[in-house]
Amino acid sequence: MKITEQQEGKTCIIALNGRLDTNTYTALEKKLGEAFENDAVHILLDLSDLMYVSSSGLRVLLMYLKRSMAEERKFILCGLRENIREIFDISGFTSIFEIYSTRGEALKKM
Amino acid sequence: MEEFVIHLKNDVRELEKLTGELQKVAEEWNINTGIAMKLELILEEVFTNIVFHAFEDNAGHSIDVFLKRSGDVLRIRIEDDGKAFDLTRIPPADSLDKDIKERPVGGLGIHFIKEFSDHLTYERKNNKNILKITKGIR
Repeated sequence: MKITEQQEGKTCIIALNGRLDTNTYTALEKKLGEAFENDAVHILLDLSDLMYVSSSGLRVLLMYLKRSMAEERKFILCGLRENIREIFDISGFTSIFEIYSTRGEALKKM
Repeated sequence: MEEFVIHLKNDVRELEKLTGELQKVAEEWNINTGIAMKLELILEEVFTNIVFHAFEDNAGHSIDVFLKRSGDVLRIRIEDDGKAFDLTRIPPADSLDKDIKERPVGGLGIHFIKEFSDHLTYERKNNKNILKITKGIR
């Protein structure tokens, strides 16, 4: 999995490319950990190029959603492909995360 | 070929091998991307569950995955010699519609296995766990 990061005003945009699974989730955990250390930012996770996600990956997302709520910061997702959205639906994640179709749309909500 | 066998060690790094082999299976049997992804998901969850929870020693163990196609149905059998564990008897996850604050961060793996498989059976035979899964591939 490739992770890229970019700053847009007060928002840190993290984009994932590839597979978020038991072998790669620690890389995301580390990246989100670093982003959350910077208390000026909200986080936007762009999943447009995410091809696969398993429960290990979703666990990290849920952990950081909880943390963002506790710290009153935004942790928003965008760009879920159909297959990924189906997994989010079955997990009940669609109703607990704020999710937008595109990065542009999500940035307007920050 | 109508049957594939994937031999794995009880090491989480073997996930890469499992995924690679499943991609070959999907290509060989012309399984579309959506179904192939669910197949990978089911088997990742079964495999990691075994690796993390089935063995109480530090020894090497084998986890074997057999895939057989009959028409448009895939029959999968996963065998391990870890402690007995029947995931078909685990009650359904009841936390999925809970408020975010009350929702536990784990427990989704078995939910995925059940949700994406068409049929699941478990038996304990010769000190092995044998999990059988069927899944339509069209």
